[in-house]
Amino acid sequence: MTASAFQDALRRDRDVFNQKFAEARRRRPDLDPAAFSEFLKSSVAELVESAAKVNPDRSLEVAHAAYDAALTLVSERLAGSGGRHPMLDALFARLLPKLSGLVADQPNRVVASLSNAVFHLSTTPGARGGAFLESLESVASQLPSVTDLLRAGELAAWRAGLAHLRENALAAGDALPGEIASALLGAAKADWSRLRALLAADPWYDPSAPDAPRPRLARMVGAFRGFGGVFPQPPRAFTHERQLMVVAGNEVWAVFADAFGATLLRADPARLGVAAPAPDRAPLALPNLGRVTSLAYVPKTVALTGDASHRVALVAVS
Amino acid sequence: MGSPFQHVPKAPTNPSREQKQRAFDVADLYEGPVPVGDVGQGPALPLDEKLRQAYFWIVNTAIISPHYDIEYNEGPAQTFTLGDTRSPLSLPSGQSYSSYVLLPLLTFATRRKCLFIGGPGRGKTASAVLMGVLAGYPVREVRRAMLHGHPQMTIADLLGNPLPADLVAAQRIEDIRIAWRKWLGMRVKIIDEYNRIPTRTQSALLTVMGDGYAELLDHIYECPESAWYLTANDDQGGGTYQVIEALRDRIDVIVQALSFNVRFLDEILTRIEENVHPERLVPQQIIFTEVELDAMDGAIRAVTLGLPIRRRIEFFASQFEFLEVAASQFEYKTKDTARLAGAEWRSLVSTETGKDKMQDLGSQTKNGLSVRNLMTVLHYAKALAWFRGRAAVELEDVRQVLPFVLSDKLVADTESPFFEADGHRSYRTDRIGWLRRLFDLACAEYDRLDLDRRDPVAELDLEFRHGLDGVSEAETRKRLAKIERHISEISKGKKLYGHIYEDLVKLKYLHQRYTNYLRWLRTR
Repeated sequence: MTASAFQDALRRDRDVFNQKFAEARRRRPDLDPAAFSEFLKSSVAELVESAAKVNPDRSLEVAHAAYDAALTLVSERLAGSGGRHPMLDALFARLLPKLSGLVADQPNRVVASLSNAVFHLSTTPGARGGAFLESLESVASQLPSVTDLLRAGELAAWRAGLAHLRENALAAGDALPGEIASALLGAAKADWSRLRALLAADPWYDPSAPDAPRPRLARMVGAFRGFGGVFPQPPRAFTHERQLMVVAGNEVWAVFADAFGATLLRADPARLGVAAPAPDRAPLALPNLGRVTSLAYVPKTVALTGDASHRVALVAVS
Repeated sequence: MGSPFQHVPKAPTNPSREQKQRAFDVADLYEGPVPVGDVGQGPALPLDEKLRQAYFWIVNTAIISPHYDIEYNEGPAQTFTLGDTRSPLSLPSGQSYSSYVLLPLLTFATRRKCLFIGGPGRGKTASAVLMGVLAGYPVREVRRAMLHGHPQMTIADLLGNPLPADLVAAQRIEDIRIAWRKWLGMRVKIIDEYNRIPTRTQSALLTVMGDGYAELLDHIYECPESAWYLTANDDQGGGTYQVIEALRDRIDVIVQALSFNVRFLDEILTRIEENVHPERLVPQQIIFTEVELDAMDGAIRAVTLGLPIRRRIEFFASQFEFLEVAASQFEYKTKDTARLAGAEWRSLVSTETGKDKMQDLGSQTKNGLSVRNLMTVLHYAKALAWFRGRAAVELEDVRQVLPFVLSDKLVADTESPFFEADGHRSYRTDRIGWLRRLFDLACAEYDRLDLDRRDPVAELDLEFRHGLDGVSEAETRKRLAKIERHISEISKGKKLYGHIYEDLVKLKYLHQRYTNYLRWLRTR
């Protein structure tokens, strides 16, 4: 059901809303009026209504911000009926109404920023948009400002799988009340200072599973581009300024991985001085060790052991 | 794509090889398909990038102006020759712009004054309104604050009224309060059909335009720094009243609303059918705050203009003021002397014989350039360079803005033999093309004289600019002799042209400064 505050806003700026839709449809003739209308009713109306309850004077601005975002998302087939990313629908239906005070305060910034964050989570392999929404929902009522909301979003997005946010998210956590930061990482009762120290010291520390066994296969990232992955050729790993990198064909990627997820960000080969892939070497064949039970590394040497062998494989590396 | 009318082209809008790949930025989490437009929040784009986004939003969405007449090339451009007049059509290889949108935007950034000219119904007023919206004013407010020139317009219509109650009750004139017109306080001022304003009211307008304040009954209203947009159906005095010269001279650039290209009729049709008004849908991301406008002005002024470019501007400007027959005293041999004396132009210039008038660029104009004109050229050249993301002005920036600044400032002598030559007749009506050609010819002459490498006057000037502290009497005499020797060399050539005249005036100045210094040395 369309809420009254939204109806009132649509009536007040009817011409402008209609023009926005008309222009969007002209550029994207496949924009379905019924789908857009449904998205407005199911997702936008409730948001405008909840914001109007907090601050009735801002309902028109909220309506415009939500309408613009909805128009973009539905016309791009990202949200709404047949949209590629249902988490965006969930954002409007579940999380944004819970943030009504902050939405009323800065509607465009809140609606657009969170829509974009959910879009990134939805398009990053392995990331969990649902976890992002749940984390923020759990602290929504405690966030005093939009700035704090965006900080909380960094922590929530990190925990939801965007491993490259790690450093920034920890800094964002420092600027938030400790109990909110801890709650966002799934350890509501933990002291933030202690939790932070553990997280900073060990990328594989997971507050929800602190005793996870090691060694363990934590992540597999990449995959062949032809099957929806990212690499055009089998990748090779190397480090650059203490950053784990992979090169595949002429492309270079930075690898970010920790207990919350793993992400690949494209890097500029020229800037890194790795313009061409390393020359092919003979593939290294390891003796049958069975399942790897331990791995140790000292400069130039890697040691591997397995549960099917009484020997230690020592691998010389450059 | 954002909501299409709200869609702002993504940065960088003018990518170049020098631009480095951006490192990862956590703010990217909140950037994406949905534009984040709240002013002052989120990652701030550089202002030049924001202005480029505004430009591309306007040309892609708001104003149908497919005329890319400000051309830049990166490598050779494809050129075709067409028609009986062998007109060239070039396809620029670099990012090029439409003057009808770009120059008003540069006016917005530099807070100067722009005149839109062109026939009725070509979107002059609509373009001016867009500029007001870019400054953050609601459309309704911009429209209400816009002045519409009409033959009955009074000074009160223009500036405001004394409060009637105060007029009756006040004992002293300073007790009469004034209800100032709202437009005076706006950062974008629009005057529609300014050539329909009566002459007396134009004079009051001149004070506001020229000096930035309004005066009524001994009360003063100080206007903020603002960009001005005026419109006229033509700039030849075709309005109801002749525009006073001082007012015309205050206008910094003139842009012409070119004809509508009928291949874009579908756009017009859509606007009618869907009742679309682009000015109501300006995206928040391209709205500029007052602080940003101030910052933009500062950034533009900080763009450098190097000596090689400055010398070419000097050389170009030096061509026009000189008129050998206007006076016998050297300093007065100018077109302005002839104008002030009310001399009949044609008979005066006909006495100037012996010079090759095709070579003499000065013969193409009836006047020279004022200081205000030159300041405007420099300011807009900096603005254009800044808009293109450059830290220093390039020659092409000067070449591109110069015609729009000088189009009604440098008056063509259309009876000059230059305009009779093959291929030059169209320059009588095409002032932009003529001025660009004039600048090209000046640059070609500059190159022919090899002034980049061999410019004795510039060397003498540089020597002088190092200061006179510690310069000995012997050294001073040496420099004086050098100046005299150079003048002597110049005098061996029989013809005097504008740039030589300017050099001679400069040499005389340097000579006088050294002479005075020498006298001072002797009295010590």
